[in-house]
Amino acid sequence: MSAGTGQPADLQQLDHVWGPRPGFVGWLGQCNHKAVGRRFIFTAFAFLLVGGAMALLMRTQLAVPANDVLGPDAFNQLFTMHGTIMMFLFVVPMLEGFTIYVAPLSLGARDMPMPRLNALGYWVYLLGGLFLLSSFLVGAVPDSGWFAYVPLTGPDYSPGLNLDFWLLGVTMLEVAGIVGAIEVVTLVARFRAPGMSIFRMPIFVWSGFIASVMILFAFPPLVAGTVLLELDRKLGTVFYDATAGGDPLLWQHLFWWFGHPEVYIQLIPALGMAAAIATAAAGRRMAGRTAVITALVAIGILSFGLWVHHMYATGIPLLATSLFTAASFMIAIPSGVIVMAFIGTMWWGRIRWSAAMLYVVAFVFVFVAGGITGVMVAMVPFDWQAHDTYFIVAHFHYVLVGGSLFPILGALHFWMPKLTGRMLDERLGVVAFALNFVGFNLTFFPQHALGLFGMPRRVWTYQEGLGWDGLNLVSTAGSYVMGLGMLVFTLALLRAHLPGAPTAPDDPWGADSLEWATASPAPNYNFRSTIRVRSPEPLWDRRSTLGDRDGPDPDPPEWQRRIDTAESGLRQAVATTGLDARPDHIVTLPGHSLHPLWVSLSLAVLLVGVLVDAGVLAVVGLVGLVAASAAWLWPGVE
Amino acid sequence: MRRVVVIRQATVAAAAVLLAGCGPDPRDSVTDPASPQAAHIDALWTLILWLGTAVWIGVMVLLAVPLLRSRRRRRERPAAHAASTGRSDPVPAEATPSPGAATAPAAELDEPLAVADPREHLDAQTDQRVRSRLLWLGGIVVPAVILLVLLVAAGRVGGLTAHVERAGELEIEVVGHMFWWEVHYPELGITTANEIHVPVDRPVRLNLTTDDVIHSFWIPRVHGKIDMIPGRENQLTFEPTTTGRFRGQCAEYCGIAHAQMVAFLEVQEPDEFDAWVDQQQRDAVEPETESQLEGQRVFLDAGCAACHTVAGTEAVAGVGPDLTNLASRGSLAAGIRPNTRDDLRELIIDPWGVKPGNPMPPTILDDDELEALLDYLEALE
Amino acid sequence: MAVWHSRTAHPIGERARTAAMGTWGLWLTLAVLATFVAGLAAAALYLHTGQQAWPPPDIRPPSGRPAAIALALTVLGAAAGDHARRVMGRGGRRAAAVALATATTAQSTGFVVLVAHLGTLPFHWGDHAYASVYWVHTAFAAWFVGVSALVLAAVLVQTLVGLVDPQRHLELTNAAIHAWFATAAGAVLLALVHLLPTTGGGG
Repeated sequence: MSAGTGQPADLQQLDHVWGPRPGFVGWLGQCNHKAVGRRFIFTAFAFLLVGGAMALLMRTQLAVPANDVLGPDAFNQLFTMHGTIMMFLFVVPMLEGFTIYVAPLSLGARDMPMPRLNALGYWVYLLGGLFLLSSFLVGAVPDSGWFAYVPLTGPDYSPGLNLDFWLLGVTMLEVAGIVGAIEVVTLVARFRAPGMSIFRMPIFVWSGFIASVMILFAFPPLVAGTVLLELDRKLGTVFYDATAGGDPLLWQHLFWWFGHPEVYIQLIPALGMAAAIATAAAGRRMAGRTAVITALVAIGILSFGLWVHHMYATGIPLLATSLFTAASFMIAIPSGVIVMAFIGTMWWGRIRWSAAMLYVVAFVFVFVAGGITGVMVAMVPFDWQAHDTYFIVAHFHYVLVGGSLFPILGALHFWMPKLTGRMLDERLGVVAFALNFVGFNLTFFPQHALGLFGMPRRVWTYQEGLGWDGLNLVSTAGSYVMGLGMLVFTLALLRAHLPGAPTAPDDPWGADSLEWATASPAPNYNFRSTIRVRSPEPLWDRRSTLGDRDGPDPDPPEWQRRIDTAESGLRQAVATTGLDARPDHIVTLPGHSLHPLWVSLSLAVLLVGVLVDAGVLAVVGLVGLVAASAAWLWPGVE
Repeated sequence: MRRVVVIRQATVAAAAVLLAGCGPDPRDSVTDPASPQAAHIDALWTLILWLGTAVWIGVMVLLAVPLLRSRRRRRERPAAHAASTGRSDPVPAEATPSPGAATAPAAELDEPLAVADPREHLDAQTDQRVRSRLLWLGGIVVPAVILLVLLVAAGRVGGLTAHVERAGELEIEVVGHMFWWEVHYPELGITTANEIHVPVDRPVRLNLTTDDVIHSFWIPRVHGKIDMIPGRENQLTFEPTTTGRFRGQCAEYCGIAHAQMVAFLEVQEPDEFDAWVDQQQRDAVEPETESQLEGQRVFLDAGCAACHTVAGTEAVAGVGPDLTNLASRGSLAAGIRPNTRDDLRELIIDPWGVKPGNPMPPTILDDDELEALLDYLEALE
Repeated sequence: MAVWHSRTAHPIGERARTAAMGTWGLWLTLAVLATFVAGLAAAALYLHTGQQAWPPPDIRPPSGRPAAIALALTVLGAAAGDHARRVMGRGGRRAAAVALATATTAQSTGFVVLVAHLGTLPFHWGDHAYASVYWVHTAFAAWFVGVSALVLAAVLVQTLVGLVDPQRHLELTNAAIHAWFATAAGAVLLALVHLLPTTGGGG
């Protein structure tokens, strides 16, 4: 079954053609979706631990009234960086990493359609993250919250480099996200295995596709907004300056045009992960599969019509805000359909329990609560009370931990065999799950009450005798429990990768999608021969032709023989038509390339030049960017 | 089994939290309204709390049913279950595809059901109807009905609580500063800070602006919050129906001392309010004792007057709060300290220790000067 | 015919029915850039509706002539790029090179006209939000046109050294499409600068 032993000559050839070049430079120049996807996933996991440690520090400060573990400066920096890291450096890259690693395998493809763009996305992400974190080294950490409202972030009230780090770093991360999104959209449009018509795609791939399309339309306006703010700060334009005809509310509109869809960009692929886990665990198709896909698309579209519900307290007339209440309510319907689909899938009663599946149940448990409080705060008058309090903090953690983090942890359990060929320990996994689940609810449930009792968010301290003490202490205790849970999870992750730990079988879950039809971890060439898909669950239908599992096709057409043997020595793959996935043309893909690294380094140099007002450095970066792009795009592959 | 334990733990935790939430100390809670506006919002909250809880419990019951069912089935048919966990068992003959399957059009092959183990196909078919009902009723019909009810409720409460002009309103201008609140009564000619006095049972209208960054004004017991945004003026109207001292805090992050920007709303009986107005309208009390006179000199010479006003003296600056009636206020430094001599002393010599990020610089004074200054300030009623 | 003249794609049947990866990449990138332009446009419109007078009374709006000239040059350049694409498809490599050179010259001249215009403005970008919009939106228009000129120049070089030929000229096709996009983006941004009514929405 696995490609390990006694490889025939053509397998060696395939492996050679699709494998990395030898040595450190070869490692650096890898563009293959598996290398890039793994890099995304593990870098994002490291950032999750950093962001989580920051949260623990904040909860420690807030454990008791008038505490002095942290001063206001440190606290304000921590909540800013916690939000920024979790949104931009953990959730979105993690989901993109999983999409990049898993989606080509699920679609039966050999690689992403634009591998070098893939690598570019990772390098820009990594450098953007390091750029943001380097603010700690120079002591100018961003400190104005992750939504960076002007005028507090303008030149008058934040004169230091703090906000420049934030604006430029976030712009880099947005570029990384956009690059990855272009890649995923093209992948889904072009690289599905023959026979995988668009409605046979796994739900997880659908969700990654929807999120990517959303990124294309949500991120650029924020880039525009941050560019204008950076111009206000560096050159002295007055876009956001109310005294000179500008308007601070412009920032809020641009920010939330991005910020609201961003929430769903973090949610939708995680729903897809949960769907993949539930389908495999139940051993049957997701209940209402088509309805779920439709609901995901509907959420994606509706999420662009909600941005004003973050701005109810800005004095926008009631009639206008009420329209956004109605729009926000509408999104509860597709969400309800999805939740019911999960319950319906479990209803059948053949669930094989695993830590991954526990996270899916926890997701339903927590996410439904977050959705209900979401409906509450979508109502204008109630939001006037709840807005910017701990009620909101509790609400969005219920949505994002329940809707993103738990499915991601489940997905790490679920796909780790395919990622690295190792199973995570189930017992440790269950212990970590229990700690995370209990700790999470203990941390955030009391915060609903704190908000109603008048505790605003983003306060570094509070006085005694306001009736907030006990609840804050409980919340802090809960956060330690969850911190312990993440520690156990990390230990499980490390333990699985110690030498001598047991290796994973090809298909440990009896799952339905194509990534389980190949070896664990997936070989360089993904599948031995071209796959023919005959249903949405190719591993269950017993009609689909699965490259590795069923051996080579006895009588392939000429084009298929060409790519299945890789006789040309080129990375060749088949591109298919958009809706019904009929074989259309053979594409030659680039392999090893350092151009993406040069482009992203040039971009980083350019932004550092802008940051420290070093014009020469900025020009060097710009010239490097143009030169590296030109070299990249120079026609080479025949 | 594991699930039950987890749920039980969560319930215990929730109960502990609720108990912790019922301590004796008074809170300025949204659920303890002191005006019709806050009462309407509280009524809405009560509605959504119960509806929301009911919905959540309903969904959890739906979630629990399949989980319990799955355990029962496993007990009843252990053999079938064991078979379903492995994929290596031979495929039954009837499940192998007919020769035409590979060439049949996609639509015929993509039936609504697919299972890992073909022997469970019948089972799945029986469940299919239940599930489709679940999706329609649970996912679409029931939520839509509830949301329509809530939409009407939200619209109604919105109409009842939104700002409207009313006859006989008391108009007050509140200006947000980093990190305190400036309060003007334009009709009464009063300027004060951080503490807003209003008479009970009279409509109040706050005109909210800011001097620097965005702040958000919020007194939970009388109304929701509304932002103070540069270049704009927002209004908040409410009608306090209970006397008392209601606390509120800046709700939009406004910089380093955002956590220490507190406002108090003092709702008084009409005659008390009139007495307060009368007191505030007068110029500052003239210093009487020697020490107070010395204190006034220190105030004017040591730099205090560069930022603060004391009406009736040469001190007319508007950077910091107006101190004309300082001693009549209940709190210091935007509501974070009680107005005592010790706190005042600490605020003058170590303002950054009392409130990090405070724009007020420390004042270097010898002990005699300091005590004289305190004598003077404490007389400013 | 190897449709779309890509050097990395080979149709399986008689001809490919779908677009090449390069075409997908181009159009998705243009979608992203168009959304970016929409963000800039929304900012200008929002600021405009918040003002009673646009520009404010103390700023005299500069002449729109340089912008019109630059836009005309950009359109000319895009048309020449399109022409280059068509003659290349018919096998006229030399004619395509000439057309490409024309396109590059026209669009880079358009870029220079816009930059020169910015150098002679009677107000500073910090005077008023109107001035900021004028400066930044014109500069972004110049940026789009300038990038397009660079792309056209790169393809011109590739044509001259013989890498782009009648059989493989997806690069040229994409550069021509991009030139039209730059024209449209520049037109939208310059229209926001010059064609908004002088009275705003109030407030």
